[in-house]
Amino acid sequence: MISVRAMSAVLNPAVSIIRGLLPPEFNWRTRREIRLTSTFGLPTNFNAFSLNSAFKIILFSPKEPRRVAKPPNQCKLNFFNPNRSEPCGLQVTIAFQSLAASVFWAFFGWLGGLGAYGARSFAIVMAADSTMKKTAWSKLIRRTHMYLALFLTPWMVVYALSSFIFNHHALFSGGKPLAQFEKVEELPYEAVFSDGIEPREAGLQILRDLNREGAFWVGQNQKLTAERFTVNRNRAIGPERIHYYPQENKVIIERQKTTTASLLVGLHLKHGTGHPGIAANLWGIVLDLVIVGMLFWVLSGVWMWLGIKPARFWGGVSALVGIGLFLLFMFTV
Amino acid sequence: MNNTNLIFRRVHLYLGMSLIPWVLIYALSTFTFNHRDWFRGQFNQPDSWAQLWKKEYKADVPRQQPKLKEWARRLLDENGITGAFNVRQNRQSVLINLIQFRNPIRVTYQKNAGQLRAEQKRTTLAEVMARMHVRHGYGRGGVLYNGWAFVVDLVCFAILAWTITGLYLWWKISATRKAGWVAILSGLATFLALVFTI
Repeated sequence: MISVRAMSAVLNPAVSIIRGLLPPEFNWRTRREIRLTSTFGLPTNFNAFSLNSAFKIILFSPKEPRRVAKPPNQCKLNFFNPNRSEPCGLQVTIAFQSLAASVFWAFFGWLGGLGAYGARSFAIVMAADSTMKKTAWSKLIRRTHMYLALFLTPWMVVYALSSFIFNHHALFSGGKPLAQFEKVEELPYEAVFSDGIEPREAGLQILRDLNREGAFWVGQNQKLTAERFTVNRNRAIGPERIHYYPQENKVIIERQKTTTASLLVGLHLKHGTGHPGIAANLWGIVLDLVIVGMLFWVLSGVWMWLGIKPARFWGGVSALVGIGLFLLFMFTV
Repeated sequence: MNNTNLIFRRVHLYLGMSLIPWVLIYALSTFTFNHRDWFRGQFNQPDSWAQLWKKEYKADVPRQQPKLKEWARRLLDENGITGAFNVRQNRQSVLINLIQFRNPIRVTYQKNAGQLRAEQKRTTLAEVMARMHVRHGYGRGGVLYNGWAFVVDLVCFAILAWTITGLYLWWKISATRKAGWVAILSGLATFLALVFTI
């Protein structure tokens, strides 16, 4: 057995001396070998790579000072009028988008860990006592039903409130649009587009040039040869319409005043993936999760209902009334 | 189990059981909206309108919208077509759309040619679900049309009721409180970060 004292805490210089080559006498009792077997070779490999490979250029070359457009203490957060073209606006946006993505995936990492831990207990229960199988399944389904719902609560509340606004539109708008667009900027803008460019591609180019990348849509029948070409940058807070006038080489930017109703309706209408930026795509992914959640709530809800004997009759009546009413609507409306 | 707990459980369950078809329709249709490219062939195909009949017709079309609506109602009655509809016109034609879930009908009147044509849409399942998803509002037809709007309100109320009763039921299971807080706060943080940066 190799003594613990044979391992040295001091950095072994052998690698740097031989410049990455193996020593002439390769003895598997050497310190080098001991370090490889007891630490999976990580320190030795790191030394070898950092001292004798191209990585040393990155690791040990003097770093260039970071270029910061504005010192961070001068950055101001303005949530209700976010503009990427403002100082630090882009950094703040990226930071929040990364935060959203991190929290989202961290939650699923945590859920996965919990699931793995639960699966182990589940396997033990299943192996130990077959009469407890049903209880173990029941617990797993109930917990998934609940945690999924707790995570998706904000989205479900938004969909409920916004649907109510759609259903009673006149009550909230008085027959007018929910919120008006107002002109906020007029800028000179000259651009060269490749021949036969698709409207969506042209829209993306305009947004990039104006530092306004993110979820957007453009009318597919629009042409760059027309008097005006409009790109809709559908932000959640303060959606913008960017009108590009090719003949006049200018853009006019209009922003919608955000009201609670317009915000809820805007969030209700957001969907799809393939937008530039993290946030809009992540919204599309969460929307898929909402769909999975709704289907799972139905299936697991029916399963749980079958397990509650006193609720079987009235639960069955409720389901039949719902299905009957739905079929009536489907064939008559 | 105390009374409040039982009432909350039963409200959560019975509302869920009665609204299963709507929850399924909203979920599945949202999937077609979110992945529009995958369902491109399912929506608005150019040859999906089939002609029902075509006839010669000559009439003076009123310009004002309420009178135009009355005129369209009479025209549909004369031709044995019933149901809620929208009507709009331009210089050349009048378009009457009968808004039905399964087989929408459109009647077009060509003013200059003096021609009336009725067509029915061959519809796909994705289109039916999408029409159900977007149908909302009162006062567009008879009792059944308003009944659908009432159910939309009921779904809105149900989602809020599921949220409130669900939170109550979660709080009553003390073993799940910590994990529940993690789920709620991570959901809320993701939501807020997305809303402010999207």
